[in-house]
Amino acid sequence: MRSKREEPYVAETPESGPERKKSLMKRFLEKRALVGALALAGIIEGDAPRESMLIEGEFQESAVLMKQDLDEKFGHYVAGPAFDISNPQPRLSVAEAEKSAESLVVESVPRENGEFAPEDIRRILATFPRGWIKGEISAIRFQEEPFTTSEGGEALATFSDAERGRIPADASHPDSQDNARKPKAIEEHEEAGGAVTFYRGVRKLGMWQFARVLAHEVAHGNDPFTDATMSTRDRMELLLRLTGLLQGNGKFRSVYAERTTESINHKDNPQFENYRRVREYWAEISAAYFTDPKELTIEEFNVVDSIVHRHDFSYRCYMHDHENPSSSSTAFDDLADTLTDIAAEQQK
Amino acid sequence: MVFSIFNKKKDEIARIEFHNGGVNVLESTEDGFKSLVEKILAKEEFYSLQEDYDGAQGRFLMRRVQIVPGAKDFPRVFKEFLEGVGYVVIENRSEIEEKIQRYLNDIPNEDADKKRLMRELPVMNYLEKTALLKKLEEVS
Repeated sequence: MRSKREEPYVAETPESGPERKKSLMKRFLEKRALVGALALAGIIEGDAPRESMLIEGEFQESAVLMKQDLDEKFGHYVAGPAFDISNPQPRLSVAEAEKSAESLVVESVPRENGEFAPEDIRRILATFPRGWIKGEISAIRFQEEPFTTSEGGEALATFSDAERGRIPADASHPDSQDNARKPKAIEEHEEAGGAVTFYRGVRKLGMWQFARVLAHEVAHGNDPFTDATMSTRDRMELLLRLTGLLQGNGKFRSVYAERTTESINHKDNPQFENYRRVREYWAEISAAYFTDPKELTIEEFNVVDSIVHRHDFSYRCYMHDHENPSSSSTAFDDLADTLTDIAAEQQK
Repeated sequence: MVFSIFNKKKDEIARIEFHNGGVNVLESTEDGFKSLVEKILAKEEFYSLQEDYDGAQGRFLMRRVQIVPGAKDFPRVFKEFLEGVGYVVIENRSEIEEKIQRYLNDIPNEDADKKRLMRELPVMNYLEKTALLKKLEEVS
């Protein structure tokens, strides 16, 4: 029996519903003014931890279920060592990747009036987070020979997994005609990253479009199937989050989710369809994160942001307000300023 | 699909609608904007980037594909074109704005922050709107 002095427990609610909304509105407006055009996840939510929601023990318990889910959705695409839940450590830490002696090959890429010299491209790449290029990308090349695609349209760029060996030419895919080379490719290029190759059509791209294509192709080297510095846990969580967003589990769908699901259809092979969609979707939203984040949904922004911050905790993707010079400069500015500088130098 | 067009000073100067393969300028406060749109449509070609996967080679292939007015992708491509020439273009997402307004129904309309938020809401981009809505859902 409850004694007279005992009061029923009432959870502390420092603010009522409307008061909490008022407080949120005030913070949102203040921070929106501070950073200009964007009020992003970190801004309205504070610097919320971007770590995995699962602690170590929980991961081990849930990993089996997650893996079963992924096996069903992706089949043999998640069968490799990268998805081995008994050995969940990343192949490389970001620090190890950054110290890697592996050199990045960069060739000049022509523009309509001039070119991106190798040092220009290196400056653009330097605006990406730590661990985004080193250990993941081995070459940025240019190929002058015309490349007309069988689907029509002018080829601009390719990202090749095969060169890095981690995800070689898909031996199980019906198009694959060179399965015998697969083990050799892995052996020879085990430490190499993926390669981005530009083609003649790239001349017609503007400065920002070039940066967008570069960010997109580089993201293929940092996706849940290829990234060298991602742990098994990160890969699995990322794949499930991306799959959920593509299926519409987010509150809203962006143009990127819609385009990906509309343009990639392999009804005869649903696991291949899932594999392709997730890789393309990741590259699309990653490129948008670096070059035009305003079209993303907050869920998409948070997914990319969480992975970026595993690579480089100091990276900030907030758009700078040029009318408010007191706001801090950001990585987005670095890219914008770098492109502006390169354009100015080329006009001299 | 309706887009609001802003100049660099963030003043809304026009609204355009994509309908039946055409671009209609619904309203405009800037002289010459309507004729600019007509000139762009008459003279320019529009392209989108599309990527395919070459399973045999294990590579992704990005290509440039021409998009004609009336194509499904055309509004997005036209939006990117206008942004490329210096305008700020925001797709109207009235369904999100309405949800945000519903969540704020219990705040008096005289509240200074609510007034300001309602004023800024139409010019917020998709990321901002979805971020605000997500947070309002959490605190409600």
